[in-house]
Amino acid sequence: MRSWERIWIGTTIVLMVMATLAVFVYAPREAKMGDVQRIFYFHISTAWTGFLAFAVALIGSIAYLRTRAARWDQLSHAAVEVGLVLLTMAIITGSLWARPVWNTWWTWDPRLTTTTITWVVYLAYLLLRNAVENPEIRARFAAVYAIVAFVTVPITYLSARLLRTIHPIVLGPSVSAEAQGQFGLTPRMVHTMVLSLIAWTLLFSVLLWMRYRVQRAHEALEGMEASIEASFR
Amino acid sequence: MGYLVAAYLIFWSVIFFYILYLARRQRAIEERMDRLQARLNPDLWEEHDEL
Amino acid sequence: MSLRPALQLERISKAFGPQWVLREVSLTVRPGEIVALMGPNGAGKSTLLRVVATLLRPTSGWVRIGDFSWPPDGARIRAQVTLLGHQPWLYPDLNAAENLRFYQRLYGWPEELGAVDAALRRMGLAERARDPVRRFSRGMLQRLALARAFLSPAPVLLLDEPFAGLDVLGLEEAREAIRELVAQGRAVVVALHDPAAADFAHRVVVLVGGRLVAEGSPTDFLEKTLQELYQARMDRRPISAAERPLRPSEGNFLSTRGMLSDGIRGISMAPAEVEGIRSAFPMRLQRHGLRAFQALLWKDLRIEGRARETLTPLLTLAGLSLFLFGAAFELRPDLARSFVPVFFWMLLLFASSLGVGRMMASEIDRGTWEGLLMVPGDRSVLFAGKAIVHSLLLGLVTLLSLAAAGIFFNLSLWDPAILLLLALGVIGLSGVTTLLAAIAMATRARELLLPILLFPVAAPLVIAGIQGTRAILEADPAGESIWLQILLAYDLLLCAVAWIVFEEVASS
Repeated sequence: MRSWERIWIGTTIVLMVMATLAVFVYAPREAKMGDVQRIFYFHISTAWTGFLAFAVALIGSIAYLRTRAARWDQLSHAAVEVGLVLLTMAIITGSLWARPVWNTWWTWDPRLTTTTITWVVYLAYLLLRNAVENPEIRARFAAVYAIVAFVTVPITYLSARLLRTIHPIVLGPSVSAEAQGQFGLTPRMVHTMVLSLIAWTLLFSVLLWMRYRVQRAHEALEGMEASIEASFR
Repeated sequence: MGYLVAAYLIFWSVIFFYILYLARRQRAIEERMDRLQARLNPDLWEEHDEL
Repeated sequence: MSLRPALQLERISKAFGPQWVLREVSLTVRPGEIVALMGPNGAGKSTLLRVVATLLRPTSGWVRIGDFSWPPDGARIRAQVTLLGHQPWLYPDLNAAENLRFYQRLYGWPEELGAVDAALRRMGLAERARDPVRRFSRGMLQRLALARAFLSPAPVLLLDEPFAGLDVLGLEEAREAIRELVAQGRAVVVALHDPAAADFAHRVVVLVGGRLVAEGSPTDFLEKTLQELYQARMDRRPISAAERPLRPSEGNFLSTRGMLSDGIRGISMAPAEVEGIRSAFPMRLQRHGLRAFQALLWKDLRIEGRARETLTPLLTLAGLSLFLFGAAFELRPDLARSFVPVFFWMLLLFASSLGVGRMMASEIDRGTWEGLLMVPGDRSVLFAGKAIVHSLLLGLVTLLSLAAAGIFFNLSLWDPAILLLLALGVIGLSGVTTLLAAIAMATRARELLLPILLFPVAAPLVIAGIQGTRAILEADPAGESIWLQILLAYDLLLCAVAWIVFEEVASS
């Protein structure tokens, strides 16, 4: 492992530990919901990194179509997979929070629905990649789909905001009087939140880097096998 | 508190296994490449390198 | 005055993933020259022609015609070449003359009076001009495909195994036609596997394993020499010096310079004459787009009118689901206002997926998709054509189902606001589905993949459609205008993105 990788991963681990301590110890206990409110810190953080991942996939896709360099396609692929893992975690942690607060694992609340739609879009992205054999065509199709998918995400969210939502809106102006589980942020909560966001973003960057390296190695191996095959023909 | 701990454990076990899975895959691929390279005729390999 | 080459290939390499199919192929073809491209099966002959025709993007290297290079300028190179591929690119529901006229318009060839009839006559098809192509035999299809190639005014003709399936008479007619074309100063590259058929070429180049390994006159390459050449490469033995092995490391070996010193038999064209022919076919690509679009519209609607491949099944599907839904739920009027919009928009979503999927699949299955991809200029015109045709069909299905739904559910759905909402929905859906169908139909999963790709992407459109229709039925003008705006924004955004990226998915 190179030294900058060591520093990077070390920083991530230290920050993750600090964030965990902050979540459990430093942050105050929320009055109405109690301890379960603490899920909020890593629920938000995972959701944020998930969407960050899809933004990276979008950038990678545009860059691929402009440069045709395989590494951009590999980056997009890695970002989508990591993003899906993180978004899945966001949905599960959200569900675990909803059970005591909303008294249900799942509701057809627009915010939940739209997050799930986003999740399905990127699952479809992976299925698409799986269905194309030619690497060059696969990269092109995947890039186009990632762009189209990312364009629809904001519209999906916009329509969710217009539908009545019971999901609390902690960040940004509250538009719904019916939100259940709404709470105000104290300064300590804000500190914990910021720390968590930074730690999670770093965690995401490490995961992305690992996944990207796997993808690169995998494609290099495929290339090697094919050229060996070709040379013996 | 139970839900909080459950959420925390699920989150970390999934991330942990994901990292483990990535590291294993990386190692498997690298080992396979090493084996291939070792079997390969060196001058043949040079030719492919430049492609 | 020196002759400008009609076509120049510079160190073209093509890899399919990790596999190299072409390696640094360089070749110069002059106006009025016939070059025969020979090689064993799998040597990369077809791939090379498809790269030149801009159907495939070279991994490295360039195709140059006149002042244009591909990549990046495929849109202009396409206007300068005509390809006759393995597939005849013919529509079975159109007759012979209609097929030729369609391509004439699509490719922007001059529509001179009698040109189509002359081309048909030349390939011995004059009497079958009004027969639908589905009644043609394999040999006749090839004759018609050749007639299309000969109708083209493009300065470069690429013919991939043009004599496959032709009888003795057809073979002679085709060769005669090619000779006439080169006499006008056109350049012809013809891929052949039979050395006996190459005797009319001015020059033979041999492609083995993706590399040009030899060149010479047709008499240099009798069956035996070819066999040895192919065999030598297979065995990975060095080829003997007498066979003039050519390796790409030697650079631009088939250069214009070398060729001119050799001299080429059978060409007696004054350079000025050649220049005249070259400039006789200037394409105004911007203006051509509209003409190509009209051609696509005409073709699709005519075929749909004859075969009803899409409309009849979609109408049946709509009727069936309407009946099942109505019979199963027996909705009270207040519930109907809430549920019928859901049903209706879901029906639209499925109809769009099935209809566009079918349309794209039949283009790909007939092999005509590649013919469409050869349209000069921006390929996004194909997107516009397909999306509009499908909007018309889906719009018709929508109107008829709307009437039926109004009767069966006792709802007054004939509201101008609902019609506007549906129009926006139909246009947006057709656009997105056309883009995604071009992707899905080129993959292994095809019909199965299209809804998976489409449904989540179309989700905001369907949500807005359902909520908007509900708002109108419940007389809520504020809701109505918001959802209309969202639909409009979706349409504009998605269709703009689709227009920009369509070039990337329009591939073979």
